[in-house]
Amino acid sequence: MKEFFVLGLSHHTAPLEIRERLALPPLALPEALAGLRQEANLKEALLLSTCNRVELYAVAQDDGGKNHARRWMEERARPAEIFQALYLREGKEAIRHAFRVASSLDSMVVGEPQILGQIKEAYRAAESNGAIGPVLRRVFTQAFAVARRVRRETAIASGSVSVSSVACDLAGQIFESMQGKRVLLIGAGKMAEAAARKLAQGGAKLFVLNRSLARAAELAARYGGEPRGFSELESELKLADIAISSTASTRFVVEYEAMREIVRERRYRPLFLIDIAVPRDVDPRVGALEGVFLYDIDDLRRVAEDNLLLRRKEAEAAEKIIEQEVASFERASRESSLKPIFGAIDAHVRKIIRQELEEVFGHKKSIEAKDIDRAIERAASKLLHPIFVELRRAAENGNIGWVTMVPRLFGISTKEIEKESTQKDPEPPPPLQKA
Amino acid sequence: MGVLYALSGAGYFGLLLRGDERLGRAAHWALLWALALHFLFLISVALFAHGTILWSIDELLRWGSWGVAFSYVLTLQFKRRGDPKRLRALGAFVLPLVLLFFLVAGPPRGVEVPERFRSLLRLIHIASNALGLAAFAVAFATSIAYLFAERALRRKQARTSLSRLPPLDTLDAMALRMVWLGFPLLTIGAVTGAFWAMRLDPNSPPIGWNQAMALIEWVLFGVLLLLRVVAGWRGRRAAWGTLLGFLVGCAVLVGYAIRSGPR
Repeated sequence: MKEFFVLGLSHHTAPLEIRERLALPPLALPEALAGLRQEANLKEALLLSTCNRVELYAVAQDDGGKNHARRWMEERARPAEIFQALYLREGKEAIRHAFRVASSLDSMVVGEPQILGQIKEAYRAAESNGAIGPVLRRVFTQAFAVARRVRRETAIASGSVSVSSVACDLAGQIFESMQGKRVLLIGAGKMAEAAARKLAQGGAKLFVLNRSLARAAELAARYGGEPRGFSELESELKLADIAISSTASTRFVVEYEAMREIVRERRYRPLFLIDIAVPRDVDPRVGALEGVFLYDIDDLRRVAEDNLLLRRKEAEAAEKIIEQEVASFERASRESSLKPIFGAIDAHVRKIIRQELEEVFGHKKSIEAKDIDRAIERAASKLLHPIFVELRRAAENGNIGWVTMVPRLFGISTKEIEKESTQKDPEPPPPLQKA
Repeated sequence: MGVLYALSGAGYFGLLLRGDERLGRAAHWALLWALALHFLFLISVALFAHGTILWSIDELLRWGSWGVAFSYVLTLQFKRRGDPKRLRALGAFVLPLVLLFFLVAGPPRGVEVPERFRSLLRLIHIASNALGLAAFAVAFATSIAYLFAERALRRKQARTSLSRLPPLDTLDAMALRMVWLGFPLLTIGAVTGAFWAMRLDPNSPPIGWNQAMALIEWVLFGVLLLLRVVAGWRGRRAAWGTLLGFLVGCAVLVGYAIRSGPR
């Protein structure tokens, strides 16, 4: 796995202005990948380009590959700036990095789910480009499995960390479904719009209330809702299930006295009131009214921060999973790299024995005991000859480790060696020139 | 069975506190086994008692505890909408009641039922009361869950384990359904009980302590349903009303339990 490396930059190492210079739009990925593979002479390659990272996961043919890849990246940005930002991770470190990125441990918002989809997309793009080989296939198949395990065994993705998502989560604690629910958007702000959009996606009906009816109509049209004039505030509050307020008003838009009456007329039906405005739009006393659940921007932020804190705590557990997975991946890699060696030894031994048996018995009609002895003698000599030669060479070079290890390979104990040395002189090793 | 119910309750608590779905699944399986064994036990008790079934307050509690668990499982089974994991977390509130009724009922006692107590009217009286008790118990557990979850949400404690419970409107609707189910059963129980008592002893006083409490329970649940329908009561108010009604119902049970022998 030493040949596997990651070269790139991320939000940890590079500001946005450098990241955006390197970033590749999805349509440009295949061409860039093909060019890079050719230029850097890469056996396998995958380019991941998101708003937070641009990374090349690759297997190089030779040492020059990494330098070529680095040059390719530097050429796309100003070399002086990018030099500091680029990181190169190889072998085990690169595997760990791939697992961490896929599990969203390296993301700006730890636990965010998009990164896994982005990697899968990049993988598909590389695969259709013929740039995925056995190494990247194994690394990324395992990375996807690790990401799934991290999500299953930790709460890293639990709880929303953006204000708009927190508002939607809280709505889910009050209402079973958004289907058919009335969401009233009072005023317009980015966060309020984002929350309203998410609720509308869940099937809620959006009503936009603005001082400017034209602006209300424009917003409502964007999300398939209905515009309302500001004079309809009270009547709309009587009907709404969720109200999101974010006006620029300097005084309360939703007042306590009016709301008391509204709550009575609503017959205490639950109303989730989200006040994102600063200064606040909703009199805080409204939160004490029966059936009203009032959350202001600070409440929502606090929930988001709590969730983020929990995610960070869970990230520690996730890091342990990553370490286990890296170790097990390495173990599996080592074992798989031994397989061809085992196969070759096996084939070699069988070939020699078969050859010697054919040599001794090939032309004979009957088998005699002395022939069997001869066949054994010939096969053993042929098999042991290169071992004795290497052992002798190792002993001459003072490589005692080798000398003591070889008997262990044959399951020969020290006692057996001692017994052999007391009984008779050891067989003289075959002359070196035969090697 | 008690152990299985306890294990199931512990599993549901684990699901509520830790959000571990495996615990929830294990708890559910333990509950299903407990229900099956409990049912066989109840049937065998009835067979050994020569077909006399539901003749005492112990029997009512025994069948009632089974009924609570069974109603809860049915609710899980037929609740198509909603997150099943969140519905299972409600088991942390239901199972303690099941276990409480089961333990209070104790082992069956070999009491000979006098001939004059053996009547269909009495069987209907106790059976409908047992089923009504089960429905009200599930409504009670759901209402407790509602009050806890609502308080957490009001206190802006959005990340407590209570957020694993079903949404507030689901809890409210479940409690309402259970009260709707329990109220007619309670009514049947009260009417058959009154007729049976008159037939048994026409000279007995028309209303005693237990009957008065049962009447209060009936009125409370009746008013609660009326207010829900007419005045739009829901949420916290309705939950407190359900709690009160069930506690009065428990007082009736305690009253009957204090009196010895079959009644």
